[in-house]
Amino acid sequence: CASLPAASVQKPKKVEHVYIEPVTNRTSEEGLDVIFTRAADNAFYTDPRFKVDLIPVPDRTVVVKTTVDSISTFPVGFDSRDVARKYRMTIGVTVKLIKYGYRHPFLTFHIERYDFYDAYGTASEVEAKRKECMERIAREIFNEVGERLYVESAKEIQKR
Amino acid sequence: GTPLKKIEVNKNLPVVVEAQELIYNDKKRQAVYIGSVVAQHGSTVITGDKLIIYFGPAKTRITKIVVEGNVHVKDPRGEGWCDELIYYPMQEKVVLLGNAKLKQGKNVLIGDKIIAYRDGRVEVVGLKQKVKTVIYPQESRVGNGNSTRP
Amino acid sequence: AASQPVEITAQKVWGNANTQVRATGKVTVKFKDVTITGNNALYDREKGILRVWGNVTVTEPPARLKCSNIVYNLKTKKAVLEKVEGWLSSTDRIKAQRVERLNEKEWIAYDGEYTPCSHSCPDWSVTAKEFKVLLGESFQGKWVAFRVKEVPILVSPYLSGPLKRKRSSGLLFPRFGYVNKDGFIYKQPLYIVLGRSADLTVTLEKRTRNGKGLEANFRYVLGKENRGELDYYQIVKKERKDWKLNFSHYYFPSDYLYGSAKASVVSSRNYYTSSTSFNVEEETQLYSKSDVTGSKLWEHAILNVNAVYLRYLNGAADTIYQKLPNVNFYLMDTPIPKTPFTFNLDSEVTYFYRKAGGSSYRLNATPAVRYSRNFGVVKESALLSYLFTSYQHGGSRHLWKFTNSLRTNRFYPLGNYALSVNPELLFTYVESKDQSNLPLFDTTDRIPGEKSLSVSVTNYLYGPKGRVARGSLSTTFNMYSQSWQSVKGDLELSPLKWLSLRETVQFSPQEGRVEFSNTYTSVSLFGVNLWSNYYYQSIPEGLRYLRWGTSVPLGRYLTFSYSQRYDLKLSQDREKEYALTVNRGCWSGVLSYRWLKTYDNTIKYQIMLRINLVKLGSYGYKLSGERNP
Repeated sequence: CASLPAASVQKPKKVEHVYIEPVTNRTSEEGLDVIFTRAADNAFYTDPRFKVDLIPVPDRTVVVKTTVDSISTFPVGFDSRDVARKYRMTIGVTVKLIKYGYRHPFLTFHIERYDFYDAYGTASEVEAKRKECMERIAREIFNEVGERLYVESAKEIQKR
Repeated sequence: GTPLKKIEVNKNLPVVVEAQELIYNDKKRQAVYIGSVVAQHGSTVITGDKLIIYFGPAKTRITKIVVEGNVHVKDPRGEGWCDELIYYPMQEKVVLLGNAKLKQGKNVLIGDKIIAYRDGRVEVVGLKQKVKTVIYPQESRVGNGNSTRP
Repeated sequence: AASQPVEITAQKVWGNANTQVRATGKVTVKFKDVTITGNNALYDREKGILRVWGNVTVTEPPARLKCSNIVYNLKTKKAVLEKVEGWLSSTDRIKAQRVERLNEKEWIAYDGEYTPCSHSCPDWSVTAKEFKVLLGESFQGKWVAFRVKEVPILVSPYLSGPLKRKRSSGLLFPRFGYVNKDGFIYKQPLYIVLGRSADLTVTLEKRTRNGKGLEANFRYVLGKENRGELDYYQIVKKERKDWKLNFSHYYFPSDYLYGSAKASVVSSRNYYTSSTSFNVEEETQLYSKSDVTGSKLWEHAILNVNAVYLRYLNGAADTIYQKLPNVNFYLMDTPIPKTPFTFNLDSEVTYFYRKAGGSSYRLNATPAVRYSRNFGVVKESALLSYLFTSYQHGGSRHLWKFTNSLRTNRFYPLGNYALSVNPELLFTYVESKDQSNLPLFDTTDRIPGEKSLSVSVTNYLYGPKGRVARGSLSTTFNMYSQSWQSVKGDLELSPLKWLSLRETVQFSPQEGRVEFSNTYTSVSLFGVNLWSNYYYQSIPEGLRYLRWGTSVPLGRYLTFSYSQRYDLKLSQDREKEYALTVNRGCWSGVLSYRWLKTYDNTIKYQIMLRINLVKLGSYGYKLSGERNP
């Protein structure tokens, strides 16, 4: 859970400058890094709280380094012949926020989100549904990354 | 530690003593030296606040020498400190009593009572507090396995 | 190196400090990080031998031992101790007639008992004529009796725990099981070392009534972050033969260049009935998937090459278009100089192979231009992409796609709480074109025209101790059919530390009913955890499942857990699992009973006992059965 001391809850004001690194895929699911990198681009370019820098500026730009750690599926619905027809997919990522020019991240957090996909149709149709489910989860994860980056890093920088 | 040289001790070497004051008591056959005493017998030098020499019945031989107060003894085999020291010239034996500390080469022996013999043998006894000895293992000569005798 | 002194303290010390010194009376000897205490000691300075005897304790972190006497060679650091008891390390405890210390890590004990258990009376221990312990790593014993609470259970000629250094081939602990159709199962694993960084475990299996099995598990390490494992298992029965192949490889030299492979191919779904595996997820899957993937990351681009092989569980794979390979290159958003636009490119070349014919290439390229601007607190981001697809055997496709997103973020501090509201409006237009004459490899070969407006809002509620809730709602208005598509809601609530709720709902406005919903709640108080998951689905077929479970600690080491899956539509139990788990530190165990009712009312049950002994590995015993209606 994002921890936020209520006393200092005020509106984080300024726009954050971010630099997005391509996403590393530590799972054995093929192509997950491309899906997450596209989602990262989309999320930060459409989020009003951020401005994406192509060249990071020392002491201003926050580097967002994301790694997909885990992906797992769990059957939740079975058809009348006991074939799994609905899966819940959970993806976990670790996000490191590094002030450009520093070596160690000033904030690291783990986010896990899940979504559902059905397994009706041919094998390649189900594979396509799995990919769409990954894209939905990636979008939700990066929306939450934006939220936590903005809310928590504002607090983090105040501490400095 | 540096190998100790073998010392040939000549028992009839003179014992030379310097001090600020000397009191000789013929009846007790004692000579008492007081005040920054320095006593030398051959290559052994003993210093202290007070020194008493006890002579044998024929008054020609010293049976023992007792030194008291800030005693320090030094000779080629090592160096020692204690509160009170008894030196038997004939047996070349030294007894250090009270916070006794003896240093032989790099090795250190600490205890309430230390008896040191001419051949390097030593006895350390802890009465009030335990004895402590710090001994440096022998430098193993590279190459030859056997250790050379000092 | 300046040699370290030997410090001896005692009530009495005598001898010649240069040759040999004796000490007696509460003797303590300190040398480097070794401390030995005892009644008497003799230090022979010339030979560098230290002997201490009488009520001796030896401490050389992490070892702490008591013994009757010790001879310690200060030069070679070798030591011999007699009548020894104590700890070689925090996880290696021994009691032995004689112990030899070869070096800092390696000890050999004779006629001794070894255990990693810290309890006074060890839960399990191993006695042996001779055994060698590598501190913190492994244990190896000859003529070993295995004792549980001092009761000898089993003598095996050669028992070896996880070996890290020099490994040697040999028989490993046998495994047992029982299947009521096939009788008793006896599995004898043979461990074969293949060079420094590979080993092979061949397990022969015999079932008393029906069935002979063979398993080969090959593990190899090619480099620091470069290793793999191949596992083949086959079970031959009178009526048929079933097999399963698993392969995985992991190559991860850096975050910017990595790859992995995984294959899982099974002869057919019957494999799961004939083998004793009780893996519901595997057994109920539609198809098995094997793939190889490798990625290279640059500052602003990413290249992924992969190949995927799908196989239906009944063995059919001829009709599937397999992606052998798929090369995918994505160039991240890059500003176009002197313009407010950024450019990104997603491109992909795939060779589709199909046994039944029709294999050919397909090229996809999607260059896109994005324009984003802040208007006060609102940000607009328009993305124009050109979808170009070309097929090897002629035919190509050109489609324009335009999306325009309007997002804002409002943050309302409310005293001890704070609410963050993130609405988004997304307009999507996709040119509609007839693609019926193009090949159909996968679903992306038929992209329908679209004109829609999606509305979504995501809210976060923060409390004094952090985030309390996250909720989102989203739906889409289809401008062509002038109708709202299904509304999706997602809520995650953790108002209190011990209570959490997650709700996912998809509601269809046209039919006015819930298409599917998943409600998960979890309560954990005083170590007791209770969770439940209600799943409801109405399309394409009605399904209603309730899963729930609990785990209750029964004392410090024991935990009871129960979980169940109940089919609300057919109102019958489908899965039950009772489990008792023990964790005593030096060993942990699970005793579980699993029960499964299949769609044709066959009852399958499995009793499993799995024990994991620190240093000795884990051992499993399975008893599976089936009762047909």
